[in-house]
Amino acid sequence: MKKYILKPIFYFVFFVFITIVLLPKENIYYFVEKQLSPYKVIISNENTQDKLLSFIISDGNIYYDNIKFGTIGTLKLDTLLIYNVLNINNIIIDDAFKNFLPKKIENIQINYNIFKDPVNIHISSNGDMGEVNGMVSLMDRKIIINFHPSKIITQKYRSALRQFKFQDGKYIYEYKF
Amino acid sequence: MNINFNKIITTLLPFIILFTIAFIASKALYMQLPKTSTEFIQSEIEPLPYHKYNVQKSFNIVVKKAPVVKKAAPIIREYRLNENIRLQAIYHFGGDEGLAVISEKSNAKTYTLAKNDTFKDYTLISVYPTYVLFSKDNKNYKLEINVKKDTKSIVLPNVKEVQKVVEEKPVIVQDGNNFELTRKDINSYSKDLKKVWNNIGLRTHQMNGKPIGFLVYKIKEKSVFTEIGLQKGDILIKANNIELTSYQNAFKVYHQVDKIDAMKLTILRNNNQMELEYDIK
Repeated sequence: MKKYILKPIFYFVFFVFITIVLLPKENIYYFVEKQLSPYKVIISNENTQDKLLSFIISDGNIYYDNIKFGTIGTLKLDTLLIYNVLNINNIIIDDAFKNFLPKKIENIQINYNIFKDPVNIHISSNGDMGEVNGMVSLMDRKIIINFHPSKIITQKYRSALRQFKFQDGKYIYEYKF
Repeated sequence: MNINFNKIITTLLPFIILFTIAFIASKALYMQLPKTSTEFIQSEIEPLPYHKYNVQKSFNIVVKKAPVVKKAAPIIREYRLNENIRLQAIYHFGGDEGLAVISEKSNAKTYTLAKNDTFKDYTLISVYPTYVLFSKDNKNYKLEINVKKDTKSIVLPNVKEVQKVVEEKPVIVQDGNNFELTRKDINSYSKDLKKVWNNIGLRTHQMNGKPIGFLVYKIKEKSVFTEIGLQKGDILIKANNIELTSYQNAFKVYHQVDKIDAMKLTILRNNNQMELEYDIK
């Protein structure tokens, strides 16, 4: 009896593992890049590494509307199909924007867990600007971001807060897509 | 021996089948996906250097100027919000930020709206000291404050850094729409974007859903920008024949402004197109 239950589970795990290993991760990344280009976001001059279970991009330049926005240190996508994490580290904002935004974003993490929360993608970030927590609601087609600004933002970059609604002591940004 | 071989085949067969399915699926996916990365290519726009030659001055020719025929510019239509709404009060925070208190004429019910709030499908997009702008179906509706005793417009003080350092007054020589500026003054602004934003407020301006230039929505009185002929409400549409229809082009001009010796700025003022010329000495 135990054998009949365990065998299909073992086959399923094997199939998932092989699918992830054989997945054309680099081409999926190119596809994501193509999807971003209508929104005028381009990641350029990056180095890519296709690993067994993950995909890593390093030293890429980010352009928005043909203006260099900054550089990313590393971008790592770990995918287990049911649990996916995208980690972006060391985003350095370009000098052209130094009067609008602080220089460095330490980390942005985007994760999606089908078992834990199948209808929401969770986002968290921290850096010189403070802390950001939010989610993408796939059902409501809505992005909700809660921003806890650092002292630098409240003192030096108040104009950046204009994009947010101040509600119940929090800065909130909502966008429907 | 034969039995063992059969056992191995039976054990491995499901794995081989699963591997084959996964392999075919990944290859099929690979065929559908793009094979190359999207790379940034610097778009070619008109080179910025612009040289102004004054033929009349060079050959001492005195020519009587013909009357300037102003080009008929497209009319910016302003739409009025529904006649049933009255703007009761404005709480202006500076720029286009603030709160608007509106009431319905029929039942005198009042509503307080912040920027981006929606009232009966009208979205409040900008708040100014004397009027507010609503948007609906890509059309803008202007609602002005009533000039009645019960109405009020409160301008809240801006939270701004007090500049302790007294700025050196720039040297500007004006002759009609021609201005002479010193390179030192230009450099002091081109290297400090914050100094620019402290004196002037710009945002993209659209007409029929397409960006046509940058609107001067605020300008500090007696600042260098007023002295070079700009006014609140002007729309900057071209600089040295580069159309200022995107931030990309605007940044291109901004980054190269310290390398040029003349500039022609085309603006739209009160629906009239005019040109301001600058010589940088």
